[in-house]
Amino acid sequence: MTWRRRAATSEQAQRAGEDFSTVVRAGDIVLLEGPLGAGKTTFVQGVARGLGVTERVTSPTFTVVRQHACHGHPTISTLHHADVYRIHHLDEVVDLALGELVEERGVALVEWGELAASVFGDDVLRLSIAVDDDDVRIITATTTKEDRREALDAWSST
Amino acid sequence: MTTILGIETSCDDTAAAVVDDTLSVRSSVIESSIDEHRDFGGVVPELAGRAHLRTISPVVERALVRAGLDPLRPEIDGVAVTSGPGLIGSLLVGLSAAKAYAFAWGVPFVGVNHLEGHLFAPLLEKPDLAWPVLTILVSGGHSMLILHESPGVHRILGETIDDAAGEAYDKVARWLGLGYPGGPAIDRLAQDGNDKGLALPVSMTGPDFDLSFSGLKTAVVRATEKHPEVSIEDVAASFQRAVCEQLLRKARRVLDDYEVAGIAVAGGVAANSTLRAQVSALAQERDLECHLPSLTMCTDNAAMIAAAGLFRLRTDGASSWSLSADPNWSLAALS
Repeated sequence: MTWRRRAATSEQAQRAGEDFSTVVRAGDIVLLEGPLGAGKTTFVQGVARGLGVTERVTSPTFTVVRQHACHGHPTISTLHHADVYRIHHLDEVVDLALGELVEERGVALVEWGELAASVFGDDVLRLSIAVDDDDVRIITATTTKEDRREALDAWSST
Repeated sequence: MTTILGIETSCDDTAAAVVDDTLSVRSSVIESSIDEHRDFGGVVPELAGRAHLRTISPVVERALVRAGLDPLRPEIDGVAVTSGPGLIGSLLVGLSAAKAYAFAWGVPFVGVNHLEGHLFAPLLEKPDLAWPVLTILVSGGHSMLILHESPGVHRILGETIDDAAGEAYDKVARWLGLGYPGGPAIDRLAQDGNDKGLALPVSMTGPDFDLSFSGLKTAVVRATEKHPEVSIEDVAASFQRAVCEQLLRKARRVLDDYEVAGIAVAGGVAANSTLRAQVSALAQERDLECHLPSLTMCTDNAAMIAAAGLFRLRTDGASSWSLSADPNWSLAALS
């Protein structure tokens, strides 16, 4: 199943991320894909806001993964924001142990996640951000997780 | 006299240096693993970790020998090492080595914040510089404006809200099909380009001191897609102008609001020729001391870590043997 949402400005992209925070649950891994400048980090900033992250969320490219505490969220306590842009070997993505980290009331958002999709298997949420000719972002969500249909229907109809 | 060995492995350079308490650099050795990264368009974390493992011992030995010390039983008084921020695998190699050397030689060791190291770099070339100093710290992982009031007393006035300046350089370079690191490649092309050849938006016009380079990166991608006819030299020059314009505008704003005696640049992007020229002109215009450390002192090196380590050892004492590497260690946590 796929769901779609448009964002004409970076504020709207952040809002789409914020709304997406009601779709994710503890233990989720979300793979984000989209070309350079599509707005992956912007979207994650919105998700972080929705999850109760109060500190600034900046690009994790340099340190590969950053952890942010989620304040006041009932079930999620840590957002793991990763970027596999600079990683060359899949083994190194395995070494990040994101699958284990999210077991502790965590959620992982992985930028350039499609490069390492095979590491994470099918039980993930995938988000792809495309840019059309008018600079509008088309955000497409896909997942095999049956229990997210309702939340994604609500997310895409906003 | 106190003499200290500094070790730095936070990113893709393995470095060791010997510095004494007059801040005289007795040796400084830098071995870059960067050649291993050219194919991949960025620092490859684990690859950097492995390269450090190969180079750390020879680099330390060379630093000691060049300082005229016996590499097996050097007469030094401490070991300073970068323990964050940086890539975790890379940091761990330097930290473990530093602990081992310090333990074997029976001297204290101290963990140093990499960013504070950059703040101490100007002191190595001018130990009696005038305070306070405004430091423009711009690298692949960080972009900030820091008010360094006196040694070790500093305040982050503004920092990037998204990408670091050097990261934008690397990503734009990769987009343009140039190699890694992106900074020197773009800087070189920009010399032959028209810096108004590609129209790019001016970002971060607000009243604060924060920076942003993600929108600029996106703007380059979009603008080059729409205008494939613009030469790569013009793209490079226009991008470089936009980066420097933002940094200089924010720096001017700091100088309007704060009393400072000098202005310094640090980090890999501080090697950029346009930025150096503009900061130098600004210092002259405002009658400030200008600290443009040599290229090897701007970029990652161990002499600056030793300098910051001398200071931290004196004021805070030795670190615990159980100190672990902190890839996200904030500079603000020190003040």
